[in-house]
Amino acid sequence: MTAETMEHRIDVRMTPKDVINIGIFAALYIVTVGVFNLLEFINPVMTLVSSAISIVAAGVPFMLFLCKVRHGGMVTVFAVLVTGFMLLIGSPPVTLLVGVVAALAAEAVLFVGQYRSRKLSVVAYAVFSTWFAGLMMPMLYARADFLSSPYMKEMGPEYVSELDSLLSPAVLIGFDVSTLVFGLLGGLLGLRLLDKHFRKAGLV
Amino acid sequence: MTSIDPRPGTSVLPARASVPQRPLARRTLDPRTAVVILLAASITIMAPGGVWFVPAALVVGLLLALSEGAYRRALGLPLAAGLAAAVTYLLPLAVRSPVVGLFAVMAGFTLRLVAVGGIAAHLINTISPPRLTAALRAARIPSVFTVSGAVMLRFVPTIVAEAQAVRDAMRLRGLGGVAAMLRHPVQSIEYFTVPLMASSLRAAEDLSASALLRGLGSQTRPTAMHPPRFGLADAVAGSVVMLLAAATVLWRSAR
Repeated sequence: MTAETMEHRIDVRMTPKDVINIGIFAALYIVTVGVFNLLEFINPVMTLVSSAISIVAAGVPFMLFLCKVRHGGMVTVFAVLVTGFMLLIGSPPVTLLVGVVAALAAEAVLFVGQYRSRKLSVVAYAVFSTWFAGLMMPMLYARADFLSSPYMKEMGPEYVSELDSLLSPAVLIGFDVSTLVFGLLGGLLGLRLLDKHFRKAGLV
Repeated sequence: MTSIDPRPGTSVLPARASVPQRPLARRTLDPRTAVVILLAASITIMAPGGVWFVPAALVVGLLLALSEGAYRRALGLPLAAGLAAAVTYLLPLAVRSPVVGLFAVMAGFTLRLVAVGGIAAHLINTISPPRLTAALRAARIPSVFTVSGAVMLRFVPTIVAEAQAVRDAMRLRGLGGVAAMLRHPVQSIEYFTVPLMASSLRAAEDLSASALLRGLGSQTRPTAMHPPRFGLADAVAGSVVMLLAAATVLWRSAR
């Protein structure tokens, strides 16, 4: 269609409509992630489970967002907003960096698909989801500091060693890889729900 | 319907225009100073080993609350922090069990949030969205970030309200609950997100139409009625924060 006749170049100019859409979908994304992340207060093991569930759930608002994305830059601004918000509510600062890198990679995937490919948009969501790994990163680079922090000392040595073995580097790297897998699942779910509900209702 | 604040200018002031704004703006911090203090507190406290900076941030939050005359917050902040600190450090000494330990970890996190929240509350209470956007524009932050960020912050409460309505509706039909969510995760996600997105997107249409109508997308640089300026208050706040940070570093190396 017109996509083929258009010249293939990077366009980062934003219309006011784009800017508003970024804000709206970032808010939807944050609330979805937040609601499904509440599970992590049940117990420490649930932290990993709830992250996985929220990655899948947040695929729905993100795939809706991608329907509105027609040019470069939007996903990166989206990532800065989302991770900036996470930073303000207490995530490690490295998350912002990881988020921007993941978003730039996702932009590259979208650009290859000329922003209209359905398959590549699922891949783009999976790539974008890897920012969740940033939340766990202090366990990799500041492990000793984290485990010897004052409150960990008062938890007793058994608890600390249990947490230590649970969150071993192997498990954490496994978690990082699994964000990709859950991202793919979330993207597919988002695409399915898009076809099942939103397209019919004329919201896309 | 809903009034949208995140317009990129302060040129239109509503009924409050009759109240003299300049003295207020002189006494309170410049939004840029407040944002920098908040970011510095958040980054140092949430970083590994950041608990050391909690007392300093609490003192800053307390002074800010006193400076704006929010005496209830000035009382509540140390109380909340003291309670969280007691659960974090004293309770595990008294009772040794994994459940209490988990509580202590959560309280430790709450303590950090309270320390940052005291400063954030000052920013929210004293700085109106138009002043904030004007200040961020003066700080040369690209408008793509400030405008979309303002839209996001404006929209989050609406979505949270919608999410509560959806959760109530699910509970009414017997679909809610953590157990059901873990048994059928994909189905629960569908039941929750689809109505949430559908109703929020309708509200979003109104919001964006209203914002565009108010000149959100105009190319000209909006003029601020009260251009943000740094004043004496910012100098005082800056030096107090520096002193507290230096004191924390010395205290930490002495221990």
